[in-house]
Amino acid sequence: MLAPLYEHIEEVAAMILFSIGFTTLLLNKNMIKKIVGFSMMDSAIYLFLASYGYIRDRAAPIYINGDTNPALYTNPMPAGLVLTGIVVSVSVTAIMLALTLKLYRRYHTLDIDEIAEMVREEGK
Amino acid sequence: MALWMNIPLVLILMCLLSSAICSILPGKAARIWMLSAISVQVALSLTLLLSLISYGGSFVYKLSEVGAPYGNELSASVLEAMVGLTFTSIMLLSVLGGWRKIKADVHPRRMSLYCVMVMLLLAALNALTYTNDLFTGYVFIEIATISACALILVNNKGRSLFAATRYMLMNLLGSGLFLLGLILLYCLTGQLLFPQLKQAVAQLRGENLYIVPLYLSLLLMALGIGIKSALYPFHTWLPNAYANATPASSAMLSSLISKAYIVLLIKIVFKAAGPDAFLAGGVDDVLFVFSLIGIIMGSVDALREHNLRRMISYSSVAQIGYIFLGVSLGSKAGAAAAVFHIMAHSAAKAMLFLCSDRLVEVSGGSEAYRDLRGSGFRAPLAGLAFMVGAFSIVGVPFLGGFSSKLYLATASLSLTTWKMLTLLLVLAASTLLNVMYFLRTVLTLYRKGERFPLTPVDKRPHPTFAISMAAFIALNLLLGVAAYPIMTLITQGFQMIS
Amino acid sequence: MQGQFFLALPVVLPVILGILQYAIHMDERRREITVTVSLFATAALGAAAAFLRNSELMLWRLTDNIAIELFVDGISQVYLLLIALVWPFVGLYSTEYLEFESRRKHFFLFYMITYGVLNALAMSRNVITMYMFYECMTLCTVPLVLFNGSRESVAAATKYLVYSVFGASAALLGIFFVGVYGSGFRFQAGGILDAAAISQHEPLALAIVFVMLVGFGVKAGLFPMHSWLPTAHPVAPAPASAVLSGVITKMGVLGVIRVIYDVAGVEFLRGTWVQYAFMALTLITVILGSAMALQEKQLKKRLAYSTVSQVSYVLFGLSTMTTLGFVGAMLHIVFHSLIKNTLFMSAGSIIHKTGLTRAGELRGIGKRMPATMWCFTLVSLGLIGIPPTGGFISKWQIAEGALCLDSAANWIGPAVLLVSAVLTAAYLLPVALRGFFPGEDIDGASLTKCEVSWRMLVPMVLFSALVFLAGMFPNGLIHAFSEIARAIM
Repeated sequence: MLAPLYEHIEEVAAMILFSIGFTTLLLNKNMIKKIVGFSMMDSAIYLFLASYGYIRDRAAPIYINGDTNPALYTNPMPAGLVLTGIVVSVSVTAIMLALTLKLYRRYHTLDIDEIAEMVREEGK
Repeated sequence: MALWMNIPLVLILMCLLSSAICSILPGKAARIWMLSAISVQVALSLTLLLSLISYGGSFVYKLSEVGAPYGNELSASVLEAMVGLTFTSIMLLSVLGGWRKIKADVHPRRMSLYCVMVMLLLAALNALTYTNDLFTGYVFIEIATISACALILVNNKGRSLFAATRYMLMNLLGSGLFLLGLILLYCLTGQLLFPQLKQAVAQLRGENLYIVPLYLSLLLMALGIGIKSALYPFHTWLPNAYANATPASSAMLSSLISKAYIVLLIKIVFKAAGPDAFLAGGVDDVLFVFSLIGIIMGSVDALREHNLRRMISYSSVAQIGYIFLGVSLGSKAGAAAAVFHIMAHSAAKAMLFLCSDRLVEVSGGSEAYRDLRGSGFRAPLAGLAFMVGAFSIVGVPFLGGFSSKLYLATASLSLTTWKMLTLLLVLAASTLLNVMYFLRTVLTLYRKGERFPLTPVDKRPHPTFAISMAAFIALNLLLGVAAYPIMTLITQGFQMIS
Repeated sequence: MQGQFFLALPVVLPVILGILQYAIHMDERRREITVTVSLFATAALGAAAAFLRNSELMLWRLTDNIAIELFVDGISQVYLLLIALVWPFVGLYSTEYLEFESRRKHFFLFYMITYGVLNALAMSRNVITMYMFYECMTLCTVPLVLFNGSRESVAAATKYLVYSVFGASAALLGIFFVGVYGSGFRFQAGGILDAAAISQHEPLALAIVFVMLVGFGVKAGLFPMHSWLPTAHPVAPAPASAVLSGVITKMGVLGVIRVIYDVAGVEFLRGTWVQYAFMALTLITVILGSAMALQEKQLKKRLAYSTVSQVSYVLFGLSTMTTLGFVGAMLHIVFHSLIKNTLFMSAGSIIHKTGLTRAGELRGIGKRMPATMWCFTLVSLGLIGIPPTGGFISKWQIAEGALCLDSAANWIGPAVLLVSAVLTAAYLLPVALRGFFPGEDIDGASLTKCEVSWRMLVPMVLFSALVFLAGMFPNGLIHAFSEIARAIM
């Protein structure tokens, strides 16, 4: 019964990771944890894509012996996508961390609700 | 291939290059560079539009030697060129209108960074408009998000810092969903380019394979874009972000960024997935419900607000609802109405943000209605502009907003009776709500207040502000009076892309 | 743009002239002359356009089958001429009434823009065009209500806006459905609803027509959406109250006429619940308005309530959907417009000279301002419907129209009209009587004469005279209106 789960272990792992990441991002109050959640979410997606892009017993798409038969290689696109995606998510994570740093310096807390409260106080 | 067909690529590259150049220029030079670069962009977009009109078709621009299905592509038709022209010109007018305030709000040391971000944003807008493949779309969505975040942050107030954080968090959710949908679709079809995707989707549907994941991926992408452009229940970040940024930034945020995402969605629906898949998957119903709720609730929130800029921000939530409503009809007429509303709303909302700042300024910096009384007399041009913008959004005849409501209603005629009835009722109800909060504000601007006199503060308004406001007013009138030719072009554009 | 280019002139000219007089710096004396001359010039153009019967003009397109179009048919003719008569003379009156107002160029600006919009509204060829100009009319008249900028006027203007836009939204909702069930948007005698399309959805179609009637009825002060009228009309300066009551409410009536006769068609509506429900609303309004007027102490407010009641006479006449009722309604449009303008102008003259606003304070006013009070008294008689004034003719026709009906309405209607006439007498005549016969306790010598000048007097005298003349020689008008009725029924 668990065979399908076992056969698609990467996809299952990706889905679990994605849900953990998504809920953390959505529900956690701590800024750092939110960012971790976001990172997990993105990583899960890349895992998913990378696992789909890999075909067992095929070589990386780099010509070695001048062999140009496409059946020998895996599709380079998913790997390319994952790389681009990682670059994007790294930069977004960096921005988020920078923002968190600034917030922490100003309000001395990482709790988003507390910050919201203080911002509201400030506005008055 | 004609020379003008390079324009889409030139537009994007020029923005990226300019942002690099701005980063090494000193503040003042960077600002001038930014302004002239955007002006050139407007000119180029106009050239592209005119050339496409005389060319009478669409074209695909390959970015690499490798043929489809690999490689990236740009494509342009009258539709994309129209949208691109709108985006660049609204950008130009926003920068012009907020020029004086940019100087005041942005620290001189950060000025060149601000220009970098504006140029990056414009690059993203152009790319989202002209892209012909899904992954390029995703990358530039993120670039737009990052640069928008920086634009909110720039005046370095505690509130805008917090607003930017909220903005980022919500947007990350949105782009996460979008990415997931994209990857799902890619796994199902193995394609990223729009035309090939369309064939692959049609084939899957024809063979009745993987139907549920297919629709799920469409839904995820639509929801992701919905979150990112502040569709109703996901709008919580919006009022803070729009109300606390420097006016030029608010203008760009409200009238450009969220709209660019929607343009991408429209392209996905019509070029990549095909409207049939969109309708069969029930994505249209989801968007329909969300947008109707958004139209009403956004207006109700705006009605409860007593702060000028926050009120305008909430009205954006309602207006985004209109645009999604047009998209959710799943017909060309509906999407054309949505595109028209994107144009009309951009023209009105950017102007509202810019002139409201001026009104606030002549009222001792207070955004409360109480203090804004009589500000229409203190800053006559800003008052007039606010009136025109408010009227346009309310849907007063002879202004852009009326035309788009008319087109939306006309487009709804293809729906089933009950859906149409709901739509028309909501349209009528929201018109009334819009009147209640916008015209209340206009009346506030022109009534006597205790705190300030009713005489104009300046002899004449700041020249860049005056030029920008005059152009915006003219644009709104143009969209109202010359709606038919514009709409004809948009419809032609839709014929070209699908 | 194609068609008779001339039709655009009475629309565009006043707007341009209004903006010019606002933008160009000039001394007040010159401004008065400019405004007066422009108003009369526009009136000449409007009247000329009225005689270009059956000409048409397409301004520009909105979609493939919707365009901004103007034309002149019988009803437009009546409206064009009526506005051309009333608007410039009230404008003349306002030049003196607002003599000491520093912001009167604002007033003239919106007064003149409204004139252009009204001309366009009268000539609208399709529902969309009518709706567009209708909304413009609302927005252009708000500044008139707002003119003195007091807290009260802001509240009144807000109320006016919200009610009007509610009405217009309801009308717009109906218009969308006309797009679904109609064969185009152009007005056509006998209606434009597509019989095949509505055969399945008749209840829905009827409901929509009713929504449209109520929507346009808001501007005409129809119960239950009447309460903005007594709030908004009196706070405006007198000339603005005069035209708001005398002309703008008639534009709501125009909407109702178009919906009943040119969109839905009499054949479709006659005998349906829509006819009776609408008729019931009008009768309720007639009584309610008069009763409220009776207990109101403020003169201008009393006149505004009277407008609520009297405009519903017109609506009642229309709701009978008979030739006689229609003719009566058209006559009452003309007469009530002239009468109510005169009443408000005389109330304004009194305020201008003495500052008195309450009906009870006006004892002996006839001795101080005899010409004004004579006009007031004469048109009051007209409004009550005493022969040989015009009011008698129009009410008689409306009642006769009601008698032609074959339901309970054929006696309820005339009875209600009669009761309301008595009430009208009760709220107008005492003002006039006490004005001329202040009683023993007021010293006649203390009443100094303070009559207004010719610019304020001429419009009042002219309108009162017209009400009488038309009442004595009504055949021409009746004949003309019967022609129109024949054409659209």
